[in-house]
Parts: sequence; structure tokens; C-alpha cells
Amino acid sequence: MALCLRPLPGVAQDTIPTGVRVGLTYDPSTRPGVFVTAVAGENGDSVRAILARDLDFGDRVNVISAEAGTPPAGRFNYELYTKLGASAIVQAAVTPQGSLHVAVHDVAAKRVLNVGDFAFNGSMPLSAGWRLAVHRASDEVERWITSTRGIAATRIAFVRDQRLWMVDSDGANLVPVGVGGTALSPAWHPTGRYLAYTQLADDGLNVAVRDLQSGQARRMPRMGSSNFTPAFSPDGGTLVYSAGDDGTDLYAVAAFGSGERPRRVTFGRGTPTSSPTFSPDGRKIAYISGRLGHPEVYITDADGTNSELLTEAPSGDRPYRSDPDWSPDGRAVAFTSQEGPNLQVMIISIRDRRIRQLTGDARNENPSWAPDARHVVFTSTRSGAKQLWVLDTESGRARQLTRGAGVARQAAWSPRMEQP
Amino acid sequence: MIQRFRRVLIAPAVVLTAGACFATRGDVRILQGDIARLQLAAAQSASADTARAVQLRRIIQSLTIISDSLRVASTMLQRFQGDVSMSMRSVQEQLLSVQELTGQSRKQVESLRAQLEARAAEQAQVAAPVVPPGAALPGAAPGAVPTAPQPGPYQLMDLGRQQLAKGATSAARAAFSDLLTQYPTSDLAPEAQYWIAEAYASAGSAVEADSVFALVADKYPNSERAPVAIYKRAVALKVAGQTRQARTLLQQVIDKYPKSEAATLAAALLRDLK
Repeated sequence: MALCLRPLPGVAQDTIPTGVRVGLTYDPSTRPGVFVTAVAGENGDSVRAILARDLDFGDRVNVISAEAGTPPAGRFNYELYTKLGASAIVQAAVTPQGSLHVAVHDVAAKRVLNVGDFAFNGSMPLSAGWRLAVHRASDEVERWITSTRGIAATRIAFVRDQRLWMVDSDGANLVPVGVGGTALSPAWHPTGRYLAYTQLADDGLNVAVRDLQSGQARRMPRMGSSNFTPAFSPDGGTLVYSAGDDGTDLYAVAAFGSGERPRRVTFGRGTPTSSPTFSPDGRKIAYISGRLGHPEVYITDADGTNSELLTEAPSGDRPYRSDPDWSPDGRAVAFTSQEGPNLQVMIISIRDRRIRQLTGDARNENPSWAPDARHVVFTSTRSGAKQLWVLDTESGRARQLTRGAGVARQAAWSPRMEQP
Repeated sequence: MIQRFRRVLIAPAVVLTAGACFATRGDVRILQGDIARLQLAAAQSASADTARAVQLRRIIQSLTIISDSLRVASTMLQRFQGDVSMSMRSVQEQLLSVQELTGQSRKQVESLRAQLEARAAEQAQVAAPVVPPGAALPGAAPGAVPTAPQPGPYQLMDLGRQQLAKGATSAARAAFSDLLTQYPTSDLAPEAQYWIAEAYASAGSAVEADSVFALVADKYPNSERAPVAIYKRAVALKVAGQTRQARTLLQQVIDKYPKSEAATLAAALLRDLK
């Protein structure tokens, strides 16, 4: 298909500065058609495939599937793209300087909407770092078109066979985190550099923080034999986790302090309290408590005051609610709810406490929000074994993230990553 | 030597007369030590004095029986202590559940009262005579314009909390302020004052929040919100690096409201600051 007649507008007069958006109007209720052209340069086919897949997984645009043909040269035939239903064209090239050059065209305005360069930083083609550079390009393209940055340059940490693993948001690059022994409940630091988790040791359950760059791990102060379900505060300075012996409470400690004694945040008086998750402003914490006799989601001020029940069970309703995760936009908390014989993923609005059930097929649990506050990753048995799935909470579209042997669970979606 | 044996026997005898149910593992251990010593003494004296040896054996047999009884009593005591501990924990858990349910019931009652107020206002509006626009109500002064019924205190509290949940801090403050102005003697007045401070804190207005939290503690010292308000001030001071002032306020919470949950939080934070 000889669709393209226009050269890549790296220095063309009709380009605009990076970050400035003109022309294309994005309507969230519709999904604009986007055409990703063939990509010139080494591994161009892989770049195109990743860009198209990332944009598709973002669920904000409709990627037009057509053969890319050859990389475009000369002027674009915008009329032809209009007939294909494209509102935007994504044009990319791998440069000899080791970067990915991307331009987005506004088809209706017949001009370049934005351009950007994304360095591979010397990463080997198709390596984790190389893929991350392409994912970052995808996220920026999505932002240029829809004003909302994508979530491709993110990773998901999870537990498989009692070990910690990580996988890219598109399901590629599955690697073990490298924590020895049994490890559970991973939680990301807001920079994406550190991972907190629970580790089973001879003396009980401990909370540790691992530097993913250096591989160094540090054990956090213990408060009793059981220390588990850590969560970082949004500023990354505080780590809150559940700790105790018979009953457990939430304790807060400086995430990178020098062994200070943790400060108690909740008072369950012998009942189990766990699974903290911060509101994005850091002022509140949602958590699980069994103080009513069965687990429910509560919220408290981060200083320990104003604790109140969030998920109100109907009178006489004994099943439980668990695994809360506060959405990055602060508007809702996702959680697991027992519904009859199964578990389902739900969200509760912080504003009016309305509950919305997100899943209905099979058993679904352990939700974790993506940074866009639109997608959630969760464990589901809908394909048979327990695997991770990603759900678009607006359209209801779901895709399987992990495959293969072993039970995948307790997923934690990372912030947007700047480093591999 | 007999006297020594008597002294040795006194200890378990006292234990028995005092009541075996108070025997502890330590007591049993002491008694077993005594038996061992007596056995040693019996062995030594056997060659010297056969009659005394017989007597000692009898004593040892008696002590062994006492020891067994004590062990049984000790086991029973441990079980009893375990049962009591379990019962206490169960009572504590039930108490917490009751507290939680009471809190939930209170919120539901407040919500119901807000709904009742809204219904009453609607009915008052329906029952009011229909007058043409600009006309005066029958019996009212000429020029008087009919007004909508005022929302009740529970409605205003509900409205304020809803606005705060939405992040509309100014609207929330307005609702709480209306409650204080229109119903200054309402049971909800301390709560309204407290949430005005929370609305300021939500908006990032730390100075205003601090002054209103101080007002809550001064104006309503007997309300449940007073210790929380002082604790909130202390937390803000700690964050601002004013450790000494924070410590003073935390100590104030502990001294004035020792049974409050805020006092427990204050004690924990005070430990951090020392």
C-alpha cells in the first residue's frame, strides 16, 4: 500500500514543538482511528507491532489494522487515510543515532500534530530497555492524541509458585525478581525503583524492600512474628504494613530510615488488620479489618484518626471483602468481594460509596490499578488456571496477561517507568 | 537433721494449705528439687540409720504424691488461664464488634434523621398555601416572599460530608458553617466545627485548620472530637518540624483524655518524638 507521500517531518517547517497539542480533538466517548505506518530502520517491524499493540491495549484509540506496506516517503495522502477511518497517523523510524523518532499526523488538519525522540540508551534491540523506549513512545503518542498518557511503559509484579516475578504491561519480558525463598504481596515504590514484599523466614513473616537496580534488599523492623502486606506512601517516604502476633495492626515506618520503631496506625484489639493502600494525596489509608467479625474494607486518616467502614455489608451478610487498592485518581477503591461461591472484583466510589461489580465470569480477585486509573490487573480463573488478566473498567474489555504453568496472583501494577 | 527435713517439708505443706490451685510451674519445679535433695539425703543416711531411712522413704513417697497432685493442679490452672485468656479475647473482640456496630448504627441513625428532615421539609412545602409570584402569604406582612424551608442539622451535616468527599472543600465548609449558625446548640455542633477544620486541612490551608482544631478543643472540651482535634494539631506541628510544641500537645491529649483512642495514638507518636 503506497499510502504515504510525505517525508518524516523531523525538521520540516510544519512541525510543532514537542508537548504542544493542536488540531486533533479527542472525544472520550469515541475512539479515534489511528494508523501506524511501517517503520524504517533496524527491527522496524517489531517497533510497529509494539506501537500498535500498546495503543490498542490503551483502549482509548481504535488501531486500524491494515498492512503497513513500506515505510512512507514523500507527502502523505491524507484523503486516503480519511477513507480508512484514521484521525491520526503514527509514523516512526529507528534512527542511526540509536533512538526512535516518532511523528503523529492530524489527518483532518492535514499536518503534523507532534514529534518526539525516544533514546534506546544503548540497549540491545528487543531487550527490556529497548522495549521500554518503544513503550514510552507509545505512551507519549497516546498523550498527544487523547491528552492522557498511556500505560505501556509499566510493569506488573506478581507471585507465581511463592516467588516474585515481573512482566511488562503487554505480557512480554517475563523475569523473576530474584528474591530467594517464599515471597508474597509485592508493592511498588512510586519511583518504580524499589519493590516491597513479604518474605517467609525462620522467624516468621518479614517485610523487605528491594532496590531493583542494585539488587540489594533491606529487612524492615519487625513488630511481632507476622509482618506482611506492605504499601508505600505516595511520596515514597513511608512504608505501612501489617504486623503483630495474635491480632495484627498497621504500622508506619520511614521507608529508608535507620531502623526506627514503627508507629502504630490502627487499633484492631486482637483482630486481623492488613492490606493497606494509600489515597493518592497520602492523607488516607484503606485497609482490611476483621473487627466486625468478618473482613471488610475500612478507611482511616494516615495519622490513625477517623477510621470508618467503607464497604458496608448488607445486614446479616457475612461474606468478606479484601485486597483494597486505591485508584491513582483518588476516586475509587477496587477490592475483592465474596459473591456466593465465587470472588469478584468490584470498585467503590469514594464520593458516594456506590459499588460497581467489574467481573462476573469465574473467580476474580486481587485487583491492582494501572497508573491511568482506568485499567486493573487481577487474578482470574476464566481461562482455567489462575492467571493475570487486564480489564478496561470503562469498556469492559479484558485481555490475558500471563500464561503458562503455575498460579499467578497478587499482582501489583507499577508506576510509569523511566528506567528498565 | 530431722529439723532440716521438717523445714524442707514446710514449703510444700504451705503450698498445699494455701491451695493447690495457685501452684505454678515454678512451684512444681521447687518441689521436685526438694524431692531430689531428700532422695540424696536418704541415700546418704540409709547406711547410718535404717529407721530414719524408712521414715525418709515414706516422706519421699508422700512428697511424690503431693508433687503429682501439684502437677495436675498446675495443668488445670494453665488450662483455666488459657480458657480465661480465650474468653477475655473473645469478649474483647465482641466488644470491638459492638463498638463498630454502634458506630455504624449511629451513622445510619444520622442518615435517617437527615432523610426525615428532608421529608419534613418537603411536606411543609407541599402543605404551604400556593401564592402567585410576588404575592404575600396570607397573614404575612405585605411584600413578604415565601421562602423554602431551612435544611435541618443532619441534612447540613450530610451535605457537608458529601461535599468534602467530592473535594469541594469550600462548599463543605459553607454547609458546616450553616449548621453552626442555624443550630448552634445542636448535638452536631462539635462535629460541624471539627469538619470545618478538616475541610481546611483537605484544602491545604494548614494555618486555618490548626486554628479551627484549636477552637474545637476549646469550645467543646467534652466532645469526642476534642482529643482528636488536639492530636491533629500535634501531627501537623510534627510535620512542620515543631517537635517541642507537638510533644506538649500530645502530652495534653494523654493527660486530659487518657481513655480516648487519640491518647493511644498520641502515646505512640510521643514515643517516636523522644
